Amino acid sequence: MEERGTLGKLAAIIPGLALMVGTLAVLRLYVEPWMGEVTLFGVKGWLVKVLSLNYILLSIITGMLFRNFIFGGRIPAWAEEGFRTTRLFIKTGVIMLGSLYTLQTLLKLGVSAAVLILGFVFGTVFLVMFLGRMMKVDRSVTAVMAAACGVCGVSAAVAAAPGVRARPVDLALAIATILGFGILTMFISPFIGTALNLSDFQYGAWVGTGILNSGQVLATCLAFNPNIAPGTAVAYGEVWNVVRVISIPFVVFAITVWYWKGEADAKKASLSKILVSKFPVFVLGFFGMTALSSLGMLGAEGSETLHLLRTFMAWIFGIGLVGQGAYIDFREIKAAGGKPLRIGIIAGTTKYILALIVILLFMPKEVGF
Amino acid sequence: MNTAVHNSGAPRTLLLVLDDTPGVFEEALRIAKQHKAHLTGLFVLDATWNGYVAHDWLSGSGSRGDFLDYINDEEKKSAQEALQRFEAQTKGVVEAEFVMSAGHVVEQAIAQMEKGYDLVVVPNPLRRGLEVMRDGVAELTRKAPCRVLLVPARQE
Repeated sequence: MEERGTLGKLAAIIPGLALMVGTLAVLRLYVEPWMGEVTLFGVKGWLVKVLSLNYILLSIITGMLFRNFIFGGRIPAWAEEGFRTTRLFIKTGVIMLGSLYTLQTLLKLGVSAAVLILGFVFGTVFLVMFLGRMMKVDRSVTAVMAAACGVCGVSAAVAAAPGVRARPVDLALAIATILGFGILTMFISPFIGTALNLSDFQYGAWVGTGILNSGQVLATCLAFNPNIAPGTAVAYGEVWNVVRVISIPFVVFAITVWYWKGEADAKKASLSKILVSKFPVFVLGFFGMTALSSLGMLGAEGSETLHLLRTFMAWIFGIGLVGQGAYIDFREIKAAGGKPLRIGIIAGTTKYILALIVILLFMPKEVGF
Repeated sequence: MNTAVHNSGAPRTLLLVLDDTPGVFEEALRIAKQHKAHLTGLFVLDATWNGYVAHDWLSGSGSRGDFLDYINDEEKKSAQEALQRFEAQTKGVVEAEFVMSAGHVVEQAIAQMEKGYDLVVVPNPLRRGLEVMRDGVAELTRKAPCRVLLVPARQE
């Protein structure tokens, strides 16, 4: 394979990145304003008001169109390196979201988030283990699905797979299931939230608990309310997301211990090793931003610095989500099947609906931010 | 059309795209024996997993690295098993060669086909690596530079 220098690597990023940035610019500057003005079925801005279409959902949809129709199913070599930066964009955006909180608000929201998340994470893990036993599914498949449905979708499956010796083919099916379910909930959640008149707090708490994939929690929060500010859906949803993300190594440890208990050639799982290798370090950056915000180093609410920071976040999320969309291959999702699909649908739907019921029954409309 | 179910001359060189679909290996071996053809078994280590999980923005480099190393090891194990099986079944039976490459399964198969074969035997559906999630056979038959024989899985 041809080795490239630093300049060569940077140059290779440009075409794909330019496409993502250009796409978002067209969507934000032309398509979204046009959708707000156009009258359909007698309603001005029907596409925005009824379909909840904004630049966030449009970014993902356009990314999916690139991959599945324009590129013919595979990101072309000229755009590959640029599209690979999508993770960097979203991670940077999430770190910057830490600036929406102070340590006090984070602590206050974090406690209710932790209670809800822990209940749902371990509840889902037990449900999947039960389903796996009922359906006589291989223990490694059950373990991967338990991690994926319980915590953070694909990331948890990736973290759990090596420790439970998952077969690549099962893993591929599990990932396709999680992704397919996540995409579905990402598009229907804003409708449901609007129809049930959920507040930003209730919506953020619901999707932060009930949606399987973290990336889709972020996207669906921004689809519900594209504003990035304290007290918006994304500000609440991301607290739930961060609590969930922190729980990944612990859940992976618990699942790995469970898996090896049932194997003849039992191995010992080490929590410290799992913590070192699986802890999502970017969370520390998120807390760092919260610390800066608490110390008043990012300016007071309404300051020019915060305004710029939030505008920048909106752009980098949009760019990242064009890339995210381009990694969604319809053929791969269509291929999901077998027992992982059945487990995923039952566990995912139960979690999604139960989380909504709990939020409606126990969560107030508003909570001080 | 590249897909062939009839023969316009006995094949002298045969390429078999290896996966674990039951019955395909046996069919390729039968044809090679019948025509005294040279059989090449191609095993492609799927190197597209990095792209398959590319939408996962959350995993850190440690978690992602462990995962990709694990997959790589699993792929190598599958290759080793395929090699042993290939050698055991072809030794002394037909003139045979085992070829291994890494990359996108369909791209690698087409690159190998371009080296010149009379007939390529492909499992339908193709179940090597992530091709189990994709319609690799459609792309392969569309781009194949030679005749292709599609063999469905044997009912077990």
